[in-house]
Amino acid sequence: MKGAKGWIIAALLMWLAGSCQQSIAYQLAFAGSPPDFILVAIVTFSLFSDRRNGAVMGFIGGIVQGAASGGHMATYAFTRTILGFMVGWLTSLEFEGNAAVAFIVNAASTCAAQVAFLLLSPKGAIVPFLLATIVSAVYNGVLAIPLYALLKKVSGPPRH
Amino acid sequence: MVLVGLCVFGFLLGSLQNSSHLKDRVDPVSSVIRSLLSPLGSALNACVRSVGSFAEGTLSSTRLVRENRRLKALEQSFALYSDTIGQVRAECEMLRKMAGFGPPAGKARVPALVYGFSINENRLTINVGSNQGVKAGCPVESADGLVGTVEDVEANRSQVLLLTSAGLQPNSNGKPLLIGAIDINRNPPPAGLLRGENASTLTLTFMDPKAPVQIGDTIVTSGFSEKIPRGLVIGKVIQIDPSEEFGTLKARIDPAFSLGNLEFVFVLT
Repeated sequence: MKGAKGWIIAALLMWLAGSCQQSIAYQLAFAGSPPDFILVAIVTFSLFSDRRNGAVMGFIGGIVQGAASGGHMATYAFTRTILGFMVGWLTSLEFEGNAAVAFIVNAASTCAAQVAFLLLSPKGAIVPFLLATIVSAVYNGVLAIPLYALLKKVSGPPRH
Repeated sequence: MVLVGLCVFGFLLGSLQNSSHLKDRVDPVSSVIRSLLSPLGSALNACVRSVGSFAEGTLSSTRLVRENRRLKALEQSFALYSDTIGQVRAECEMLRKMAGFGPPAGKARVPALVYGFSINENRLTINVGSNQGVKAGCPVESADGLVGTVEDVEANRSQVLLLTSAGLQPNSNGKPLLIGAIDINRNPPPAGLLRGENASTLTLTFMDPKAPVQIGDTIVTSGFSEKIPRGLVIGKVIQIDPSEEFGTLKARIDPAFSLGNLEFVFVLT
């Protein structure tokens, strides 16, 4: 996704994702694990972007998440920027983008981001955190499917 | 190149955030982003809560009517005692002044609405701030008990660090939040320090392995703090684990507040 249209979509997506994350993510928790709207927005948008735009989207998402949650902004910015970059890089490989790919990439990205976050910002109890990460990964993967379809409709087929 | 630049920029913003925290301020980037997210966030939150309340009201209207009648009766009986309570409070204040003590912590209760949650960071966002007299470190309680302490304060909103992050996450001054607690079911009440274990459990460590604590005991704040008054309910003991070799006794506590039900809270200023 490139040009002014791409960035307007990105800005709108991030605003919506940030607002949802801040206000209703906990109320939509499944088995105690809330969805990560911002991560879903970063990864799904990056599936339609190159490495550079993916990294920029990841950076913006990290800053928004850090600011909204009150957590350490640098940790969020670093993990999300790397993630956006990696997903953008992934799209340069030869594969057919579809809803299943969006599910798998989102689920895997959630696990990777949370593990990186755990290493950079250690938590008290690791096992419950990892179990919650697995549930969140599946939840995020499911949420990514309609978003992927929407972005595909708005922007045309993804790069691959 | 872009990746490196963004990472460096992220660390710079993180440093700005840290330095602002140390001065008990919110950094401008976070403030702008929160201001942009708040209007839609509050509307979405209200919308989801309205749908939930509507469904609950429809399904349990009879129970709600009964509860409403009971609460009105309680309000009437409370009015009978309010004058006496006012007189006793005035006497307490006069005695504190005579003894040279300052005003008690947690004197005024500022009502607030919860409209934001951050699970990873164990934080809540509430709709009151410095304009309403809220300061960093003030305790926040719900109808069930202590919820946490105020962390970031802006003009009309604040972030609250939850009780479950006690002893784990550093507060704005870079130190972990330490909360003293006592077991009110015993006399004299044994005192210990709280530590968050996970999102739903706390650990209370007593320095005496033979502390007379029992399962089901109620744990409240000790009051050994400038800002957190004595007697705020923390939760109930659900497990006891004495460790004689370390000279401690650890009690697992089920917090009194339920995160899923938090909507209205009070900041004790």
